[in-house]
Amino acid sequence: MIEFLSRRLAAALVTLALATVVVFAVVEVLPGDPALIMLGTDARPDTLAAIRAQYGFDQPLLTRYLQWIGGLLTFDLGNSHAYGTSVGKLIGDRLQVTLPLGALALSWALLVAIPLGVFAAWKHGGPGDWGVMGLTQIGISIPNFWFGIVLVLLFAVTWQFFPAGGFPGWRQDTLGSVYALILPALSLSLGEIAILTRVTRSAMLDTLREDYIRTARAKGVPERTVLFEHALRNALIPVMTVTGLIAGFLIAGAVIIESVFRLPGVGQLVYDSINNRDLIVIKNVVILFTILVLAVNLLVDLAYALLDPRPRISA
Amino acid sequence: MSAFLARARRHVGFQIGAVLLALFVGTALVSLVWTPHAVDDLQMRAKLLPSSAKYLLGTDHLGRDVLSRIMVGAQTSIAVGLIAVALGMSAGVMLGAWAAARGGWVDEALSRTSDLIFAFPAVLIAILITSVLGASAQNAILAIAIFNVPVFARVTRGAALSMWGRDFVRAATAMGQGPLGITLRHVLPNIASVLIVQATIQFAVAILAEAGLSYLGLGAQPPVPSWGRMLRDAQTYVFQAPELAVWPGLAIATAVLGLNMLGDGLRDLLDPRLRLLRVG
Amino acid sequence: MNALSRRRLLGAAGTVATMMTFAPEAWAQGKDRLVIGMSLEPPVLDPTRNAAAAIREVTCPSIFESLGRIDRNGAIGPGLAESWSISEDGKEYLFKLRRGVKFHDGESLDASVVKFSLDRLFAADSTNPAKSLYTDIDKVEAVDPSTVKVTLKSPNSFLLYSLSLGDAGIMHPKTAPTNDKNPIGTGPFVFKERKEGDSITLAKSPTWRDPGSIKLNTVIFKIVKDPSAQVSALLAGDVDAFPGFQAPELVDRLRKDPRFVVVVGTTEGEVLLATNNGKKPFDNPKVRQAIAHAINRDELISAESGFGVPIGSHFAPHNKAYIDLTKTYPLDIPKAKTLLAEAGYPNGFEASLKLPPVGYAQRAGEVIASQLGKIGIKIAISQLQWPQWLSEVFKERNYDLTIVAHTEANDLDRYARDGYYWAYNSPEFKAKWREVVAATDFAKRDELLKDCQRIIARDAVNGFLFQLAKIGVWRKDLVGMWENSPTPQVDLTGVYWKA
Repeated sequence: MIEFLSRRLAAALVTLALATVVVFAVVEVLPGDPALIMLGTDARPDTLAAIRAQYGFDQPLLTRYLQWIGGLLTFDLGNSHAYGTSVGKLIGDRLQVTLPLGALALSWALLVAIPLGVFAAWKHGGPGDWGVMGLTQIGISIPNFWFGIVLVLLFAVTWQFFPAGGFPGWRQDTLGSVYALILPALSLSLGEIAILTRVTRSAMLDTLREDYIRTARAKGVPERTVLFEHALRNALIPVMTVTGLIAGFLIAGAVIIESVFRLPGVGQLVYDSINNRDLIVIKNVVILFTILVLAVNLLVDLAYALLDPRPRISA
Repeated sequence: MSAFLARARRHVGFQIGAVLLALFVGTALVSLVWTPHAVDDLQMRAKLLPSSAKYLLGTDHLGRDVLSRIMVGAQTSIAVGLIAVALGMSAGVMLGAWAAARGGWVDEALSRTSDLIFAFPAVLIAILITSVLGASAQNAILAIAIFNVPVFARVTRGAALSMWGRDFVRAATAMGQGPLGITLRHVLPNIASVLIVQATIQFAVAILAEAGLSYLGLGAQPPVPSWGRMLRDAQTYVFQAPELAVWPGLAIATAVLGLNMLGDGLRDLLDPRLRLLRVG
Repeated sequence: MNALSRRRLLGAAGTVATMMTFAPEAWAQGKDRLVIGMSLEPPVLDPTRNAAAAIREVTCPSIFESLGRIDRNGAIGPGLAESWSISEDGKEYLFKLRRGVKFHDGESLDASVVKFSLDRLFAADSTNPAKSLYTDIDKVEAVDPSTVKVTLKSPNSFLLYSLSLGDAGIMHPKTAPTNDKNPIGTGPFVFKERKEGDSITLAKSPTWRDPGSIKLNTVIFKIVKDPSAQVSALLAGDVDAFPGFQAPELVDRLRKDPRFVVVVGTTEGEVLLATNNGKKPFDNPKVRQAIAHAINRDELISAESGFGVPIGSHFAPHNKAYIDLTKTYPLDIPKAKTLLAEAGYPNGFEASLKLPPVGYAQRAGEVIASQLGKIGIKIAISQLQWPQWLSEVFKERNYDLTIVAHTEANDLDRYARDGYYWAYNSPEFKAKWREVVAATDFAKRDELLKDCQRIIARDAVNGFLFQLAKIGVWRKDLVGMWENSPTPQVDLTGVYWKA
């Protein structure tokens, strides 16, 4: 098992190393001259050259790559070219929006999906199951950003229960900040609810077929206890695995939702940085997300290895 | 085939999916020859009109007929989705089949590369790619296609590997057929159903992706109608004409729902034990 | 804070009479906080490092002041220099500095600080975005602690204006290196805090020379990029004022609300259908004239929801040297087609229209495509990010047409530049422009400027579309905001809440 895990870890590190090269290359070929963006249309060639030298844009590619990797390894993310402030601080500020958003969306999704999935499995093959499965089908088919726009139309424009977008900031207005995250979290959770409901349902169906469930039922254990205590407990393992996998993508995938609701989250930071050609911010955020996804995958592998003595070699 | 049709007739999900898909494709086909109004006809005096007999779904911020634009938008969705999936599928199937046939370093390299692509935050990378190459329908296709390659490669590799273990393939190997011949003659035909089902689902995913990119302004360029872009434009006018933000979204949801239901139905009909990859 | 200080005053005085006298004033000062909405975020906070207009809106003249000060009508008055004199030949400027001016960190302003700031502008290693405005300067001398002499290589009638811009903001040598993050100037407001992507907070300066004119204690610049979000922010009371409201289509929604006033003023922004004069077929004057005849400005302004003033040349209609040239090539489709045929394109041609990511260009883009379609020019639109626009269109001149506003004042000089992105090259205009720059008599300069307008209108260098309007929206009880935008600055002295 140690051997299996160390092999997975090595594979993840190779993937990460490749990822740094790819990200660096893509960011480097982004058209646009950061010096020109800073100095604008009246800049003279000599001032542009001076700026390039000042920020090291004129260094050879390899030097810049090694500088970046060196920074990453020493947890120094460098300074943003656009703002002049540290990239670590920028990302930290934005995570204060994105992490609560993701957490809210995910907990809401679990809260809805698990009972729905259990219900569908319980009513397997009946109209209740059909209804739930139909709903999940709709859930994965609706673009979440459109769902967000519709929520804004209803709850912010028509009824004015919630703000249409923006984020007041935790320190300024804590309650308002929670309020500002509700509609975005609902939109973000739509697809996740659908996926998690399906996973819960099929995991429940698998466990409900197990012998010990039949025994329990035969012994006259109440159906509620069978479902929620015996079956669900085992079905939760695959549900949690998928939740973990979703979590990584959820945070990175929030960029469009953040755009709909104008939330100053990490996704918007990358989006703005691409538009400003704040290359160092783009590189670092994309790599941090990649590390996050790889780490979650490793954890999932670890969980499987611990729970199942016969590790699966490939996903 | 007739047995398939008989079973299909009893599968409600498949039928709903087929009807929705027919509606989607039919709209696109009709719009090739007829739309209620010319799609690019600017009528600055008829801006943001509500629904009426003349303009069934009203007009947009430049006085163009929304229904006509939704109809032509179906063409954009199909073109982008279909080409992206076709590109991703051809490359992915080829790589997956190669990895299954060759094993060894090819297999290892393919696994690492698909791990790599799956590890990237897809939306951000798609935004980066379209920023590098410029915003256009072609580049949106490319960005979506790239993420389709590992999906098809993995599915193909998995299914092909199980074929390589089957007796009739072993027999063919024993008879001296080369790996390419076996892949083409025995492996691919037998895994076609998995690929068709996966392709249907990926088509749905691709339409959603196109809508997202266009919403960010990175997909098809105006004046070509695109549903995602219509949503982007509509958001500016939520106070005056909220219904503008409703129709394109409904169109996307309908098309995607149709494909998803069709895909799930196909899976049930062709092989209920298939395991699909869902990456979105 | 207010309640506290009032209580302290009451404790000191301790009589009902003082309470009577103090109460109304405290009440009048009840609202001393202003939240200003902005659609673009300033990158760094130092106008001498970066060309972004948003930096000037936040920091000039609130944090950084220049020698001259641009007023609400675009005229130049005393800034950090209380007076100046110009020599007969226009080559020597003598600035008398204000005495007793302090930087926010307590440092004093004197001639050596001014010399430092001005030397940075035109030095060989200068990284000032507007360096080209100052390269006529030969040397700067500190004559005495409160007198600075600026000597030019050749007369420049725009120098005073250039020295009043934020690009020539006066900075102390000690804090200049860190002004990007922590700007320290001499202005009426002090930088307090910044939250990137969200807001910038300023507070009243305790040491400014005219404390009576600062009625606000706290000013917050809040970044709200999306137009419909700007409306929501105003309606929800999160933002008090949008001096540069970006969504003309949403103005009606705000006009209906009695809490707000909508003030439409002028800007220096000429919106152009900028044309690559160096590329076939646009190098042919007949093709450009055909385009000019095909442009329907009423439709374009209608796409702007009626905001904007038609222009026929590259000059702001509110300027006193302006002449109306919109009839040079009136809307005339048959004439346009004839011109195209004469130029050798009877069936039209295909062309690209590369749009920057700004509201007016997005709105005008599809309208222009449709108008040019009517004379057979088939337009392919592509939307670029700013960096792409800057390198692809502006720097590499890899474009046919683009739509962009030129927002600087006095920017006709661009038609005299070599290698500018329009690739317009007219010896006639260049000669005329040299006369403008050297003119020391302003009445004569205005006449020369009119000639310049006529030349570029006649040559149809670009499609001249309309002058951008400045749409300001703010709370009805807010007084003193600028209605026009002669320069991208937000001057907050004299702005207050009506009791």
